Amino acid sequence: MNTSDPKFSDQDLQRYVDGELDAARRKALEAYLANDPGAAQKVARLQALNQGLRQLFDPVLEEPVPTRLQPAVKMGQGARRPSWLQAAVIATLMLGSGSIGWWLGTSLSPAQPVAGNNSAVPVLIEESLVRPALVSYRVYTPEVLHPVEVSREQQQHLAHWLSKRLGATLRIPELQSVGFELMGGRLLPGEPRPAAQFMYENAHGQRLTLYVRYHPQQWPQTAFRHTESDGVRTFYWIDNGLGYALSAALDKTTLWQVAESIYRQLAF
Amino acid sequence: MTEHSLAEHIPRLRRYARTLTKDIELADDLVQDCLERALSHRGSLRPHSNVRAWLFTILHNLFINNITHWSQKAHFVEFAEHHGQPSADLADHALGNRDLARAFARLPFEQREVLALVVLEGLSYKEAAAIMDIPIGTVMSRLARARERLHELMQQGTTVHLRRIK
Repeated sequence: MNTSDPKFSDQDLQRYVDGELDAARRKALEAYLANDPGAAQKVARLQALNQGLRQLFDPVLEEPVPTRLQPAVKMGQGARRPSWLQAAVIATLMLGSGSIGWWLGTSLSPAQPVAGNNSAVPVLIEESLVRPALVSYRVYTPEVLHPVEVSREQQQHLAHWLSKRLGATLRIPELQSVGFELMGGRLLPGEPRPAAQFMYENAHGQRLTLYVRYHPQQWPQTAFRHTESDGVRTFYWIDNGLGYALSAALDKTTLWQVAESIYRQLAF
Repeated sequence: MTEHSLAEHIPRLRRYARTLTKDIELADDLVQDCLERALSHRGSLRPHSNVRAWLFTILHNLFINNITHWSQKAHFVEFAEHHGQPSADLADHALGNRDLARAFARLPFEQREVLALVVLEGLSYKEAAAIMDIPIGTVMSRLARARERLHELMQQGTTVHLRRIK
């Protein structure tokens, strides 16, 4: 849609209102507006809209920043949702009313400030749990000959061996109810203690890995978190110093069901 | 860079997030995710770069990567009512503000976003284009469509009915 004067289009009017015209062009347009009431009205309308939007949203800038976004508190807690919430969520899940949106989307209560200002914590979780879990997923799931080190035939031995090396009692979750069969597991490098990886496979040959590390000194409790990287989805959480990262190239709903099943089995 | 140096950007990030989501809590969730990601990726920020643009880009990408989650409409009514609050000085324009709030909430997110970046943040078309990863021409056409649509919706005014969408 063009205005009557070929020199200035509606686009120019918009540019003008958004401060995108250089000084010379701006002056020329202002002179033109003085003589074209139609265009002047359009400009006035655009400016009124701009002003209205600012009036609507500028007050947000004046709002006090919520506690959970403030630096010291956020870092000290290491996670958005306090751990007492997990018990409430598990109860809800067992009633069958859990949903992804609820888990991951809603912060139910204002976060309680936790003493301490460990600014390294969120970085630590991503670097020491999620990243190695993803690397291990990518390295071992394509393996045809040696996807695991110890197979499921020696499941008890596997659990016992890895528990000893990790320094914490590991239980291997049963995922047949969500369609996945244990293939086995392996020991993986890590400092100060090594990590463990369990691999599962479904009827379609899709594989998932459960990466586990024990880091009681440095890891706080967290609720479920989720990340996605190049088509591989990871749900991860930390429970009493044990960090779990479940990775797979699966849709969120399916992987969520698996994560929930693991969580319920291992949390009790 | 520390979490404290990011703190000055939080109010603007909250405002930006508030235009993208329709729920105030979700907006703050989005900002929190943005800050956490920024901190864990602070190594990728080159010296002398524009921290605000970098943060806004992170928030934009987080939003785009999980639109369904961030676009939940459970609190649609709350959003419109919250933002329709007239200030005491603008009592005469109270009705106008509520209409604008509701109209704005009905825009597709791409249009809300471009208005947020250009009008609220005062970014240039070029800066907005970089954050949204679209050509400048698209910024301009989106802005034009957004403004047209707002005008249309506000003309409908009191005939607009709010639907509570769960």
